[in-house]
Amino acid sequence: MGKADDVSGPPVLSRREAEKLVFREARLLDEDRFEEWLELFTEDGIYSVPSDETADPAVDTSIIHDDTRQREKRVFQLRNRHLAQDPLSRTIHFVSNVEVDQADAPDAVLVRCNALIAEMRPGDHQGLQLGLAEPRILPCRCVYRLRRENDEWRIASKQVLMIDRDLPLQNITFIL
Amino acid sequence: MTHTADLVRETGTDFMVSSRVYTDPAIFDRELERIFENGWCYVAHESEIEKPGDFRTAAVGRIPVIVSRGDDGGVYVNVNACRHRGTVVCHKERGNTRFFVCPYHGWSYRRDGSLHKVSARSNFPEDWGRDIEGLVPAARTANFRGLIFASFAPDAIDFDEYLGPLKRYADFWFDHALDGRVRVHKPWRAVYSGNWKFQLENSTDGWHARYVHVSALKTLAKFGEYSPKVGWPGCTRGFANGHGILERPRGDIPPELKPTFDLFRSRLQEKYGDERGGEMFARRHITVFPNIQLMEFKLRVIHPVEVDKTIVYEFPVELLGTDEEINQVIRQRLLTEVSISSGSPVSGMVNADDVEIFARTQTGLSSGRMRWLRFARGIHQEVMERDNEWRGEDMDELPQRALYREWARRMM
Repeated sequence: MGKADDVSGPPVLSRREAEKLVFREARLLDEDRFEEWLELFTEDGIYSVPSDETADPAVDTSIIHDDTRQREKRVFQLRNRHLAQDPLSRTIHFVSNVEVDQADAPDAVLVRCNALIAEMRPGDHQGLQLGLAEPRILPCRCVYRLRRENDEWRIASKQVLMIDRDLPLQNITFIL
Repeated sequence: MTHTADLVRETGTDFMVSSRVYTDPAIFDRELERIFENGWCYVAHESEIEKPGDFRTAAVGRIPVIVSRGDDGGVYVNVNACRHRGTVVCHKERGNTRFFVCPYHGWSYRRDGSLHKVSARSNFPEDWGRDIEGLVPAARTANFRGLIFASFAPDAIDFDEYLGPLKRYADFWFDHALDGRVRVHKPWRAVYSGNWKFQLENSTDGWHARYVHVSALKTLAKFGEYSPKVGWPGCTRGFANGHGILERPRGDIPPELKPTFDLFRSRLQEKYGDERGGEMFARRHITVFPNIQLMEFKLRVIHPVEVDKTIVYEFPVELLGTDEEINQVIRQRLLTEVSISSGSPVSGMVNADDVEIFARTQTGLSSGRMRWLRFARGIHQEVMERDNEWRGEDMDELPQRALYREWARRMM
């Protein structure tokens, strides 16, 4: 993942079409439509945020490495009194620098983009509570592998490389 | 400096800690000096520096150190500052090197920290600098089953004495590995807005989970990975020198991992006998005061940065000599969050909620209106198990009291 094999010819999905999917994902997250976000992935889809992108996530620690079940658990917890997400983060995803390459399978493409994610937990109008009303900006590089299934493009993997991924991090309890 | 009686107060039926111990920068500075720099502090695991020339950098309070493996195979802990002008010699977290070379004027040091060369030596008087021996070494070092500790106090008590009866349980933890040794993997790294003692207290706090972790427990139950009917018996233990334990049976094994954990238990009983093997096979969170906790198959290392800022490292461990099937399931449990004691500390289901509580607590204490905090649960039922070891019920605040008894002693 993250490296395109050399494949000749234009990718089977245009940049415009790829952007449509990635922008839609950003909007679902920014509008707290997490259940719809789950639907974007293939059954074997992976959502990952590595701290070392060369490490094997089955052996080494990742910030996030979610299969379908884990993503469902994440969303379930967001909806069920998750203290660290009470109040829920507000996010705004800015997505740019979108490039599309053909992947190593006829029905798959790699989409690379950059994302700037603004995040803030609202509340605390007195400005006292640590962690509330403190906007954070998280610059990330993203690599998606999209796969066509029954004529629909879905996310087979989404890898998010945070700029400070190998440093001590504050909570990442919202979805990047 | 305020007298410590104004900060920790104990009677037969109550135990109180001043909110200032979490908020006062002067107290924080004194902690670094008294508890970290002049006590025993964990710095590295020997599996991080296996070969000669391997090193990793760490900190003892405010002292940056290099922990390295010398050509003689020994482990060395030296201050990471050049004898010339004090520049940090090594800025990498880990690696392997022949020499540590200062980037400022090129003075160089061997793998054990001894002086290799002063650059441009001919420009100094011939007999100059005879007193320069190398990087400043830690006064004492100790290796307990691969955990490397350092002290900058020449008169620190022997490490074995410092550990005291905690050794019995720390041995249980390491003996889960059939070779008796563990290897650490790359850590998770987290930072939170709160005092370092919040994490120290929290890991052995058996009381908070049913409140703070209600969403995690609900999620685990919903996905069939945990049954609320299991119940949480077990106990807490407090020790002299600030150590503590939260001990519970492993009741939180998801059904699909259970056969392997049954095999695991039988392996321990084959090797150590039914009684010792059975007693070992419990989930223990073991605090070695002040900065390392032996958790469920991971090491948690606590690094105080500021009075209200703390870095936590969590290193998953691999049990050497233990069946790969067992290690694989341990990894799966740890990395995929199927239990209350697994998952990433920043984005997982459990620890992120503790961190939220730490921030809220730091905020509440900053009001300056909370003079005394209470740690009295179970104070009337501490049972002396043996010299320097006390036992309480699983939700008692006994480990926290042990921590602050030592804290007060050291801060005097």
